[in-house]
Amino acid sequence: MKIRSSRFFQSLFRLFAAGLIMASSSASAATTIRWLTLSNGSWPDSLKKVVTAFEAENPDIKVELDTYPFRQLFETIEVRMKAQDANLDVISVDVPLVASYAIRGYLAPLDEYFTADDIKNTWLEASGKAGSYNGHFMAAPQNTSSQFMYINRKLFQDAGITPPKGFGPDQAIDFQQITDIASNDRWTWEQVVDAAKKLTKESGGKTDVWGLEFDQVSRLYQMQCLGESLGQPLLSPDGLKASGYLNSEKWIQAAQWYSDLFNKWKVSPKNVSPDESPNLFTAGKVAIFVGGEWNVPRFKEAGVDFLVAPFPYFAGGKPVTGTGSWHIGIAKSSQHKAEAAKFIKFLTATEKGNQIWFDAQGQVPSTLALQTAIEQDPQYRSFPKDAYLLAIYEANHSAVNRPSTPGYLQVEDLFFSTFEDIRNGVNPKDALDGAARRLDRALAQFHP
Amino acid sequence: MWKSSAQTAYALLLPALVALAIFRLYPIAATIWGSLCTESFEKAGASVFAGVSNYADLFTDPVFWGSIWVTIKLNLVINPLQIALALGLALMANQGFPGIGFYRLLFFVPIGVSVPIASILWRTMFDPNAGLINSLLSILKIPSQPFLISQEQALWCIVAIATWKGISFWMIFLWAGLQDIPPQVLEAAEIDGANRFQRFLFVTLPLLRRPLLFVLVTDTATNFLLFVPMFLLTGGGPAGSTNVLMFEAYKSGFVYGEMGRALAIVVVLLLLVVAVVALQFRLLRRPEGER
Repeated sequence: MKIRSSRFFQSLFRLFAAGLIMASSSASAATTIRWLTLSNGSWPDSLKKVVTAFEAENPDIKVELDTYPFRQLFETIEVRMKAQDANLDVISVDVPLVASYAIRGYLAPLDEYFTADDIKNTWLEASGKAGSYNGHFMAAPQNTSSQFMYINRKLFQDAGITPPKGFGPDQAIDFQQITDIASNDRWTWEQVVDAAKKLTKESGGKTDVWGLEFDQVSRLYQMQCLGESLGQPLLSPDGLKASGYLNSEKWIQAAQWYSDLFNKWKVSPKNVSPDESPNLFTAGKVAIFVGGEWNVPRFKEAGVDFLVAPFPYFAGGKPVTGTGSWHIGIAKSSQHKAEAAKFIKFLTATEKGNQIWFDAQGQVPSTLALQTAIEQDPQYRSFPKDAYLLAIYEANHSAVNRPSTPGYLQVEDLFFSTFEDIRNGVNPKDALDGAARRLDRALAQFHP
Repeated sequence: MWKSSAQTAYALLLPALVALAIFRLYPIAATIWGSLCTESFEKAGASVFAGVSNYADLFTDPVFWGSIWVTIKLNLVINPLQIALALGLALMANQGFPGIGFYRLLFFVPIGVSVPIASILWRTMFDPNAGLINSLLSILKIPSQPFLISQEQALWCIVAIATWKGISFWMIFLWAGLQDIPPQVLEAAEIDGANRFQRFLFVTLPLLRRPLLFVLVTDTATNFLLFVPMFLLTGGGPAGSTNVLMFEAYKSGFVYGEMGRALAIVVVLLLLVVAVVALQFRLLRRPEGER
C-alpha cells in the first residue's frame, strides 16, 4: 500500500513538473499585453479583428481583452489603477478623462513613442490636443465621434409631415451638397418639437410612437450641446467652477426645454436608459432620434427606412455637436510598455490598423489620412457611407469638446444624475443650482 | 503538557483570534487610517495623511447630511416593518393545519431569489410605462404611478423590494424561536384565563426575546448597509431621495475616486450602526433578576 501510494505521488509530481515546464516555455515565447476596454455591442468583436491583424504581424506579442460595460469600465479603471495592478498594460480612456487619469498617475506618457510632429501629422488637431495634458501626450485617439438627427421616413409619411432636408438611400450626395444642407437647412429644436408632437401616437393610454428620443439620454456628451447651442459653456475656462455656468440662465432655459420633452409635451419616453434608447428607433417606436454617427450601420442592418439630417440647434443660437471618443493609453504600472506602445501605434496611427478598426466599427476616424481618403473616395457619396461626409463637416464646423477638467468623473456623474432628475420632473433651476453647488465643492480639491 | 488550563484555552483560541485580527480588526483599522488620508495631486495621486480634513469636509457637506437623513428614514421604517411582518409570518407558519406545508414553502421562496435578480424583477414590475403594477392599478381606475422615478415614492418602493426579499429569511429564526417555547407554558396561561392576545403578549413575546434580539440586530445592520437596489434601480436618485450613506460612500470611492471621503463615510456608518445596535441591546436586556 505504502509503495503504491508513493508511486502515485511520484507520477503526480512528474505530471505537475511537466505542466510547469510547458507553461513556462509557452509564456517565454510571447509577451501578453492586457487591455482594459469596453464590452458594449460589437466593440469587442471589432477590436478582435485589429488584434488578429496585429498578432499576425507581431507573433511575439499577444493581446488579451478584459472587457466591461460602459459604466462599470470607469469604476474598474479607478479600482485597478489605484491598486497599481501590474496585470494591465493598455487602458481605453474616454477622452475627457485624460486630465483626471494623468493627474492621478494612472497613465504613462506616450512622449517617447510619438513625437510632436507625429501627433500633428497623424491626427486632427482637436484629437491630438484632447489626448494631451500638461504638455505630455497621454492617450492616442482611437477614433472620434459626431452627432446626427435620424428620421424614420415611414413614421413621417404616416403622420403626413415633411421631413427635414437630409440624405437617404435613394440619392447620391457629395461633400458640397452636404455642406449646403448643414449650413442652410438644419432644423432648430423648435421645429423638432413641433414635428415630434405630431409624430407622438398614443392608444389606450399607452404611447406607441414617441416623437423624439436622445441617444445618450441625460449624459453630458449629448446634453452639453443644448446649453452650448445657446452660447453657454458648462464650466469656467479652467474647468474648476460650475456656479454661474451650469446654473446660468441659458442652462436653465436648456434644461427646462429638456424637462418639457418628458413632462409637458410628453414626446420622449421616461425610464429608458442610454443603452436601451437606440433599440426604440430600430423597433420603429421613435420617429426622430438624435444620436451618434456610430448608429448608422446598426440602423441599416436592422432594416429601418431612415434619413440622416444635421443635428438640431436652438433658434437664435448656434449649431453645436458632441465630439471626441475613445483614446487609448498605457497603464503606468505596466511591465510591457514597449509592446503596449507598439500595439497602440498599430491601432491608432498605422494605415492598416486604423482602416481595419474603421471598417469594423465604423466610427469617425481621427487620422487625417483616413479623413482625406473618405472625402475623396467616390464610394462615400452614396448612402449610408455618405454619412461620414456629414461627420467630417461637423468635426470641422460645429464640434465642441467636453470640458477639460481634472474633476471630470464628478462632473459627468453629477451631470447625469441631475439631468435624470430633470427628466423625472424635478424643477430644472433647483436641480441645476444644487448640482452647481455640489460640483463647486467637488472641484475645490483640484484648486492649485 | 500545558502549564495551566488558561494557557490551553488561549492556545486553542489562537487560530480564531488570528482570523479575527486579520479579517475583522485589520480592515477596520485600515478603514480608519484611510479616512485620515487624501490623494495628493502634486504627488501623482499618492495617498498622504490629511488629519481630520475628510471629516471636516463631510460635516459641512449638505449632501452628506441628506444622505444621513435618508439612511435614518429608511431604517426607521424598514426594520420595524420587516420584523413585524417576519413575526406575523412565523406565527402563521407555526400553526398546524392541513396544507400548512404548502404555505410554508411559499413563505420561503423569496430566499432563493438573489437581491440583484429581485431588484431587476421589481424594476420591470414598477416600470411606469409598461409595468405590471401600473396595469393592475389601471384596472382599479387608479392613475399610473411613477414609482422608482419619483422623489416621493422611490425610497418606499425600495423598502417594499427589500422587505419582500428579507422577511422570509428573518421568519426562519423567529419560527425556530416559537418552536422552542414549551407548549405547557402556554397551556398554563390558558388555564389561568389568559386570552389569545394576552398569551402572545405576556408569554410568547418575552420567551421570544433572544431570537428577536438576534433578528433585530442583524436585520438593522443589514438594512443600514442596503446597497444593491440603489445601485441597480435608482442610482441614489431621484434628487438624492434614495442616496443612503452606503451608496454615497460607494460613489465617492469608486465613481469619483475620492477614497478618503468614502472611508470617512464608512466610519460614520460604522459608528451609527454600533450606536443603534448598542441601544437595541439595552432595550431588549433581560430585566434584573430574570435568568
